[in-house]
Amino acid sequence: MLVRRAQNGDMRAFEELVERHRAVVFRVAARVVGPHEADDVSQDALLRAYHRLDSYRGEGSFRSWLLRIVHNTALNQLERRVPEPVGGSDDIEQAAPPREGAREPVSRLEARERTERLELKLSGLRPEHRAVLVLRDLEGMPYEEIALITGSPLGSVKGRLHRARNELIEILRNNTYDWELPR
Amino acid sequence: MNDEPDAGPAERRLDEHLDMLRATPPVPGKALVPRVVRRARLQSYLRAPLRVVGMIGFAFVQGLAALIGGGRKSS
Repeated sequence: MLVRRAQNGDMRAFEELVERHRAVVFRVAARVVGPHEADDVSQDALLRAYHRLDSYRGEGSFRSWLLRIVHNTALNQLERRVPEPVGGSDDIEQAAPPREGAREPVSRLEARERTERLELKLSGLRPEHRAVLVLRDLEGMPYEEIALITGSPLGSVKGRLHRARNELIEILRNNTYDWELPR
Repeated sequence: MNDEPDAGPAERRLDEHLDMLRATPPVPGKALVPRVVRRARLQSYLRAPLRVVGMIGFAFVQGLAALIGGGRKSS
């Protein structure tokens, strides 16, 4: 009903829709394009969705329809980006340094550093691989929904996910940091 | 991934690492929703006048082309 109201020009309804889905939109955008461009990609995707509201026919969930726009916007953004070397041999310098003066327990600092390293390695995956891995392994979405979002057949999604995981495992194995991944 | 029976030991270990990312999801700023709604509202206000301007411009170009074409024929 909310979608129907938004389609009829009710701006309050659109605002409510954005409020409901902003977290997942931002998470997916941030994991695919990185945190610095996530805000722009989220905004761009939500505005595109606003202008295309009429094209949502209720086949599948509104979230899937919206995330398809986010997915496409994020991949377009990555295509426009100038390629930069990713997944270098040592990422200690690339990980954000701890804030000066901030006192954190060592275990928490280590956990944060590991998380940042892993985020960096994730960004080294090919965009289409990264997207399915984010949707399945981080967002926990069913394969059917991922197929809708990416516009790919179910079999392709499963194959791509398998390759994405293997690609990430290989990236981590080749890292100087030991991720303890059995062969 | 853990619930997938064909996942190998490396994939299961990877899934444990991914737990760290799942535990720290990126969170949007509070300004995102108001900014999107403001822009959507502005764009919807501008859409109708811009369409009219576009139609006038198109009609003007068509008229100009007809005038020039008509002038050439008569010469």
